[in-house]
Amino acid sequence: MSEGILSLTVFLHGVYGNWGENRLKNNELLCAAGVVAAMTLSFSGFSKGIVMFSIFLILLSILLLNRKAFLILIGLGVLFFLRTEWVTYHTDTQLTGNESVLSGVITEGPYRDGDRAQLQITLPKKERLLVNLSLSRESDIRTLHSLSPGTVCSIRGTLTSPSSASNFYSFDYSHYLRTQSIFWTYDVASLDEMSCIKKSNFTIYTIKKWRHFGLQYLDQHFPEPFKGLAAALIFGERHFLHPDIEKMYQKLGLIHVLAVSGMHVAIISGVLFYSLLRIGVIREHAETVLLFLLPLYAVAAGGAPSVIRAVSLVMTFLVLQKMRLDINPFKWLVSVALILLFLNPYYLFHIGFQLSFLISGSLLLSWPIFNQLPTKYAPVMVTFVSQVAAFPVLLFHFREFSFLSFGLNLLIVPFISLFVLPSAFFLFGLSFLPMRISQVAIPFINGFLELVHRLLKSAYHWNGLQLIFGKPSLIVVCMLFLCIFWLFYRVEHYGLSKKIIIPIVLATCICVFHIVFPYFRAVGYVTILDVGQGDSILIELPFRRAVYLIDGGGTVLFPKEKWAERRNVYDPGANTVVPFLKAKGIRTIDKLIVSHGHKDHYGGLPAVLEEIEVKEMVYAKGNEFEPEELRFLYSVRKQNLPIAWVEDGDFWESGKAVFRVLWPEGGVKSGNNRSIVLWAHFGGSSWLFTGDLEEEGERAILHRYPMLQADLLKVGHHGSRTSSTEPFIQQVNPVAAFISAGRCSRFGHPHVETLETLANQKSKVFRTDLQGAIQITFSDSQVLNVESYLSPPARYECP
Amino acid sequence: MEKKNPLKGTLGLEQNNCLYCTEKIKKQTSWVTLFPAQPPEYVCQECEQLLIPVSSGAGLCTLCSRSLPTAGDVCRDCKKWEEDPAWQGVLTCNHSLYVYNEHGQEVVARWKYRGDAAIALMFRNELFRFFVTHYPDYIPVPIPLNEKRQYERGFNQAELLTDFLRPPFTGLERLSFIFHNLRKKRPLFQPPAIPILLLERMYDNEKQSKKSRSERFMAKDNPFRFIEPKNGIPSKKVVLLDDIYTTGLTLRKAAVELKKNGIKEVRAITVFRG
Repeated sequence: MSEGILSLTVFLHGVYGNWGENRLKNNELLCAAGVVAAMTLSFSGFSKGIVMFSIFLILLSILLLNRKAFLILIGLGVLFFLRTEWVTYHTDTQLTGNESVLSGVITEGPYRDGDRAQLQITLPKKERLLVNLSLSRESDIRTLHSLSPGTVCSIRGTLTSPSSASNFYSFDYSHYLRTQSIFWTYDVASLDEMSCIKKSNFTIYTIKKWRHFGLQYLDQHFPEPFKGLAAALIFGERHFLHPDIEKMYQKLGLIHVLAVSGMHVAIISGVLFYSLLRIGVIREHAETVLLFLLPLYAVAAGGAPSVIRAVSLVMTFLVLQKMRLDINPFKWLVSVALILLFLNPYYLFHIGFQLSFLISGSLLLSWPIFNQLPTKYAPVMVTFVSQVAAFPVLLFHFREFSFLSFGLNLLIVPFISLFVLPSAFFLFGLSFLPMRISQVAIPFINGFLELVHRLLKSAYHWNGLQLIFGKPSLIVVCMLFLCIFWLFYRVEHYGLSKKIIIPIVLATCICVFHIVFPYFRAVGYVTILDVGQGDSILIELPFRRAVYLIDGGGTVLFPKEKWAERRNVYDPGANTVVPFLKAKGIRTIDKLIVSHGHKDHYGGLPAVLEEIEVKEMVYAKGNEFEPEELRFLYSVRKQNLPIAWVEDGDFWESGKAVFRVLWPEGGVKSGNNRSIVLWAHFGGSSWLFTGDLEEEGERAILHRYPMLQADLLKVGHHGSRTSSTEPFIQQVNPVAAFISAGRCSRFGHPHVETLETLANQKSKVFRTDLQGAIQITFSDSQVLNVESYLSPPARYECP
Repeated sequence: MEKKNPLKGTLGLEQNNCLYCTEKIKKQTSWVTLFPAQPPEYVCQECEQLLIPVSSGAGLCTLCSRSLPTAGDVCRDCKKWEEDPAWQGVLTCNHSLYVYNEHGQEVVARWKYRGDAAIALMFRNELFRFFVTHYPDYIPVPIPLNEKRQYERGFNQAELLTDFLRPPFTGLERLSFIFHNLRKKRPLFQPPAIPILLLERMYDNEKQSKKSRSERFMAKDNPFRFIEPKNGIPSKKVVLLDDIYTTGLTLRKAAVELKKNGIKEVRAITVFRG
């Protein structure tokens, strides 16, 4: 220890004492890091970690940089801090929320999904709104086609603020919209509420309009799945991509091939440049034409950060060539990143922005590495560098990693960018000509694409090489980045020798440590997730001895006509439960307890079963089942998942934890009263999970177990007045009661009567509708803490 | 004794232009250059590649760095030296950095005879790296010039080389010292080696390069004289620095004088192997 301090002082002394003339003039990486630190400081307030990081950066730059470069760094930091503050302060809504008639220009869309269409309008004061339009008739679809960007509309509807996150680690929709300066969603009941006029003068909207018509043309003339890929590749629009395909690409680490990127811009400008030269335009003029066309393409391709990066890099390259200036490409990349961040600080959170700049920067830095190797290894090395550089960011956002992704990238990237992309452009162009080529070629390519997708699908369903990592903390991400930097440094310095093993081993150690850490944590958690109207409770015992999931939420869907069926349906299983499990790094569930056969309890489970290994399902014994319930049970059977049928008297143990099933008894009709009632003892307290048990069942349980008591109670049936009868609550006498209920459900849960009963019993009540997800932390001997995601509790009013 | 170093103040400076061909140095940002502890570049890649390291051949003489067809051998000349009881074991070994080919001759001509002292910087990084990895606890001692010659030339080329082993160092070089200290469990608050002028040259009858090999061997008298430093000698191990190793006579003469005065071990680093 003392030796370490000694050597540190030696180091500092050495650096300080004699560095004088040796300091760096500037360092792009340090500048970028300084800016990012300043911006996060502004965004996230004064969290400890970030202040430490900033202080570290300042010290480092004092030590390393000369005075001029240090001043530049500090200046940049202050500038970006102020800019971010200014932007966050000024992006605020000008609406009160009570407006019922609004008029503005359509800037995006409309995109239809079943009986719902989504579009963006910009109000006169530059505020943007996300309009959710409900369609009532099939004929509305045609009327919808007449709307396009640039149309001015006056719309009657109601403003609602988008839902903010209410679960740990969950996606924050309202923050996501906020980064696009959208503060309200505007619900419009039908197309009749809109009155629109078309404008014909040429504006920025004209390009968007063409883009929209191009997309519509694709939608009508091209088959699935080629349609979705072509829309993503030509126009940078993923609305036409089937959600399942998008999910597949994402899980296999291939999603980046669907983004319009440098490759596209290179191909397009290359083809255009060459054809201009062919038709006899001189070089200088061709360059000028490109300079004017590229920004238009950026708009046409949707204006995502990756497009803007690629376009601005190509443009600056052209300008510099015109001016005969020689500039370091890496410096340019960093400058473009900083300029974009300055213009829109919210890009910092954008996954596309992060990945795009990270990967292109790493590839630029790895140029000497590529030069060292024989040319035939170049594709492998490029894939390797981009995969490794993106690894921490992908882990941070998607919490999982597929070991197949490296191999698949090697195959799919050339396939998409050298085959699908050119043919999409080509066929899209040809389809306007009165020739039959496209009609012949499209089914052929589509068939090929379907084949590839089938292969990908089998890779997707094969979970063997899928590693659920858990959400890494920022510190883990930073350490991984340091290791990666070190690795590439060594690869460049020593080539592919033994010397590169140390950073690889270190990075692996960090990952392994992160993965095994929960198994060494002496605390356990019970998390009551906010899945709206429904239940989902996760129990993790200390040292992760066992993980149990009770129910998985679910939405009740009503059958619709074919045209009205949506592709994107909110599924609490896929959108809340699975992300939460992945963020926690839970790879196997020991017991999946399905309390009873109602959709709001098992509806989300198919998504869970698809992604996470379940050892056993626990289901209530019964004689007859409802048809929907049976369908679910059959699908479970198909996956070879053993089902343990339980009834009163069954029990199991795990370490000191005891679980005992109190209900159902044989012969109860399927429904709420056949809920599994689970009494448990762990964490030094007793717990009671009652499912949706109603009065009748409660009475029967009290009859059997007159001395039943529990410290913590999951209140039955979402706090309905038909459950939690006074005798039952008085007997159980919970210290804390948890109600899992949705906001503004049509049943009006939780009911006032239940809340009163609990208040009379002096139980502390926690409600997911107000407090979001609730997490109870416990050790082997006692309950340590109850924490709710939303504190202070949210307030809401129902119409 | 402290003489003015003509390169003082230029050591750590980033050079925009190559010291040898004066073309602009192309800087490509890469993982290595991004790490904030790189030694500064003094010459461009092309000029750097003109210098051919001795180790590029099949084998080296373990005593004098002459390239040999097989590795691990001792060359004929060195065998002769070691057979002669007067010179036996005087100089433990010599390591040269580069082959003294045509390009090397041109560099040396420009450096020594046309007075381009700064060109010596192109050897700095390699010399430093070699010194730190092999002889960190040796005292670097330059082969001196006599006063008249030094006045004519304006600098002593060997002294310039020893000055490269003084601060300022880059971060990476500092770190390598610290790692060395940790490994040897002997913390040092300064670089392990401070160059000391342990020798002076009393006379220099004729310019060496004008003499024939036999003439030089005949010279029995030793032009070097030991100077006792005021603060004592921190180590009994010495590494001699010079520009070229041709026959090894000069180095050996200096080594004899050092050994006479209590130095236990003498090794040498030379830039070129003639």
